[in-house]
Amino acid sequence: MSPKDGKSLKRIIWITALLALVFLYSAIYLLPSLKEINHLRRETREFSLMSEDLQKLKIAIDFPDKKEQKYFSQVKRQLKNQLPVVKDETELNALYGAISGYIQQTAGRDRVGDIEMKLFIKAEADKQPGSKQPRLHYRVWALNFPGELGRVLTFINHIPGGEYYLVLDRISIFEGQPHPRYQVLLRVYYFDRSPSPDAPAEICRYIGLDIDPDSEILLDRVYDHGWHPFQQSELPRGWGSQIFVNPGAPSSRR
Amino acid sequence: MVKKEKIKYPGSLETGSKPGTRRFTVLKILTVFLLALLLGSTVYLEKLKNTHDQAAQKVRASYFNLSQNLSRIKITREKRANFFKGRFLLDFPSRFAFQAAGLVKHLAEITPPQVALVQLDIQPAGSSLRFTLAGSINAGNEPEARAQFLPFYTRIETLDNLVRLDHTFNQGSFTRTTKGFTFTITGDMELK
Repeated sequence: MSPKDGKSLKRIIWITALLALVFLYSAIYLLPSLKEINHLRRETREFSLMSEDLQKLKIAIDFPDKKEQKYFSQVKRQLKNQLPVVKDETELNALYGAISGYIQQTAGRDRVGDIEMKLFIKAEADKQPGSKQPRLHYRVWALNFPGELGRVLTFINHIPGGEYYLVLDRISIFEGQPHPRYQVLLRVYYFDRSPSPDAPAEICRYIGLDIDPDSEILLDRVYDHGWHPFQQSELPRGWGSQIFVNPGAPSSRR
Repeated sequence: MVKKEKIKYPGSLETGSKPGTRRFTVLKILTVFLLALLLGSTVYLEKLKNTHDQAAQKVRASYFNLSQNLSRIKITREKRANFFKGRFLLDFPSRFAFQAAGLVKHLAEITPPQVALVQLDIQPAGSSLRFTLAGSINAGNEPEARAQFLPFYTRIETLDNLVRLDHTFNQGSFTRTTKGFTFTITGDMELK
């Protein structure tokens, strides 16, 4: 090997060492540092945005005052009064008897006769998997009857007006002769022990009603929205043509 | 005696230095420059990291300070959602019954004699009322049946609080007549 070749080799080794140094520096320090800086910048931006949102939310929300607390407890109390606690089968039968009496009385007042009432479904209101043992249950009773349409509609309108929390689950009208036939499914909720604080949520889950937790309406005090309770009122009088009645239909008389 | 002359290489900066030695010097300078560059970038990156770290710590602390109110906000929202649900549930049976009865009454007012209503189902669906109406039209042919059906359907569309209305209209037999044209109308009404 000539001295010239030796020097060239030395140069090559030197350059390779420099390149290796640059490579190692990039791999061990430069790239991780850039990554870390990028991560810190992203984190700063995210926390800034979240802080900004939270700040806006803090400014926008009105925390409950005494008046609003009264509204909350009033609704809770009303619901608790409406939903009975039924501890055993005897109490359930007593409830059934009371509701049946109320239905027959209302039907008599509205001149709708021949109501057949039977148990349709017995179930727990909360069927969410993994949830706690539900306290809220319901039974669905089916009311089957014929009747003149105008009177029946008045009766249907009067059903929820009593002291019991009766939800019309389904109203079916079939053509009949001389009057249409009806099947009204009536849902009755009850607790099997002390009332559950989650009862409204459980019932709402059943009806399919949900409130967006991010809704802006939840930022204001509830009385600011001027909620007016529904006023029970009578249906307007006067009827059009006789519907669900035709001579070829099955007779509604039993 | 021959006088030794210093050999001059073309293009050399340093007269008299050998080309290998000169290149090696350039390499050394380059190495020093590279090391200085790496050192400089290390110092700069460390400073940058430190700045960003401090900024991140600052906004994180500010967020955690603010987030102490978050659970209070969450509880307030839950209470209000429960209130609205509760109010809705208290009114729901009466609202539903009144609106369902009102729907049937409206149908009785708008149904022409040539349209026979066979079955009506009304059910709650969230904050709405869902109905399915089945009926038939006794007509000689489809255009005639369609001509009778459409005004009826248009009148249903005038229902207050109606949010959806669909229909199927097919030729076929129904319970009443083998020549009848049957239809099904489905709709959703918002509970008011």
